[in-house]
Amino acid sequence: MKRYNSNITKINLRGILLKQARGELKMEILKVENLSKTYGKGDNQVKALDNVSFTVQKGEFLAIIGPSGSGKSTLLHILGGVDKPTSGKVFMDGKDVYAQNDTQLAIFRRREVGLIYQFYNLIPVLNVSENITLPVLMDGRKVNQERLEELLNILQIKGREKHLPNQLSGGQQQRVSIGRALMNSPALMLADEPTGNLDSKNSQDIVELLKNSNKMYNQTLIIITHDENIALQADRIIAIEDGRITRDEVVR
Amino acid sequence: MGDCMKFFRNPEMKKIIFLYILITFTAFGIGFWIDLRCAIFAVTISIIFSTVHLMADFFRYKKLSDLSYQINEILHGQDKYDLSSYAEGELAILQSQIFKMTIQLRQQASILKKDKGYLTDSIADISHQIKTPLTSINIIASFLAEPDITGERRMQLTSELMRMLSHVDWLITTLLKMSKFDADTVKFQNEVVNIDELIKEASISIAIPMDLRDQKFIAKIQQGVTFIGDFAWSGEAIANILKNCMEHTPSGGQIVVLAEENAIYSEIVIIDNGNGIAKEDLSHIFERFYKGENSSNQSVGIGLSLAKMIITRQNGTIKVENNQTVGAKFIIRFYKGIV
Repeated sequence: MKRYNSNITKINLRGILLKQARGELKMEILKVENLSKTYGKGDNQVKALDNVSFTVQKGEFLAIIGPSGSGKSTLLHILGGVDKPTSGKVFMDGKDVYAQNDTQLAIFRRREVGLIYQFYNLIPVLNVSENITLPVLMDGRKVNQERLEELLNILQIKGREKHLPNQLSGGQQQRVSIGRALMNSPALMLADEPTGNLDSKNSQDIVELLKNSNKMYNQTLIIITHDENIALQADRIIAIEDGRITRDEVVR
Repeated sequence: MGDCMKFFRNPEMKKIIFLYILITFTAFGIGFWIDLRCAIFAVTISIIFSTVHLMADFFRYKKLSDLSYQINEILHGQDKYDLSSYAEGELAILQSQIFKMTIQLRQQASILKKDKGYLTDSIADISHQIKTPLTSINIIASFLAEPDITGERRMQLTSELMRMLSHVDWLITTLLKMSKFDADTVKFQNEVVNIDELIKEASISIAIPMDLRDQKFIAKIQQGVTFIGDFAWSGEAIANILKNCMEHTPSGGQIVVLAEENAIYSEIVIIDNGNGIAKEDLSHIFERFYKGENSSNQSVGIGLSLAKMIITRQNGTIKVENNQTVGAKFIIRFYKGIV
């Protein structure tokens, strides 16, 4: 099982490198087919997602907008392998994500997906560098110190490695959570209102960071946001209402 | 002592005391049948229990009577509430509920009072606005009624009369439109509105007065910029804003209209090079009947207010700011969905 997974990564990596070398940068990394998700049963049933289909290209920066309760977060969680769809399929690099068993899914999440939440979700008893290196430690691998240093520099939290999350400001905590998401250089970055409770200056900083890593590592970035200024910086905007895609526009 | 007397006046207390006495006597009787000492013990216990219970009741009743005293105070216009008793228990909950209710009632009363004042002010405002041109119309009519009047003079007076009448007409039409909005009886079309056409339509009404003031109207709008909304009503809103800009721009000035569209909203920007908006007016400019520092005496304070109502109804926003150098800048956005 473990071999199977590492094979995926190897093959993917080689595939991506080959394609990049050939100049075929435009490739589908994510494909969503007829995705539906319902919560509850009978009269209390809520359709959070209703037959959603779309594809995302590698390296694309996608913003998802829509009113509260429209199904944005549900969609993001399903893309990230956190929540299972009621029906429909998610393909990542051509592999059916939900055909894997739970353990495989957990490893998929850890290696292929970086998740960033509005409320950081850092582990309070771990210090900054431990929080950032958590995905590597969970894999039982050795921490690449150079990578950690690089991240700390990019995130501008150098010198705070030994601080605990509650000793940091909101913006710094969010930077740490981005570091954690970036540690494994995932192919897909998912951010659920990453700037929801930050001031405008910090918000822009965080978005710049995400955009930079999107460009630098040719990562695919999907952001849920209520901030039109952030949404307008994306390559493409998808609007969701009542669990359906109402608009899908390429901005640039 | 008074409290004590009041306490014993409660009918349920009378019943309970009677019951206690009955129980004490029964206990004494049964006890005496066993032994004298037992009788004394039973009576003592009965008396102790009765006293403890009566004491507890007494304090509860005292709290109730305090509460009723406070409510009485509030009823008679005392507006200081004693919110100090944050204790557990049914009584404390009752007390806090009563205070909450009192505050709510007071708030409602003050809102009603404010509404009434607003209504009175509005009526006074409207009456005043109609009265002023009516007085002029009266005077002009009396001039016109004079028998020996030259043709030239008549022409002049008639044109003045027409101007006054059109002003009153505009005033009343706008007020009627606003009241329609208030009553929520306006139906909006959901059609694709071409902003280029919209601006052309809206600028017709100000074309002549702008020409008279030697002002320039510049529209830099890309083809194909649209939004979903109601053409006629949006035209009304834009026309009102343009009218405002025109009135606050000196002769020889200019009004520039820009429009663009992105994935989230369609934006119309209207910029004039007039004297701008006073800082203290900026946050009130869209309020009904609000007249700014340097508004003309023709101004009523309903044009911009109506414009805002129309735009808000179409999932849009309007804001105003002062341009960096001169003039005001109105930014109107029609959103394509909820962000």
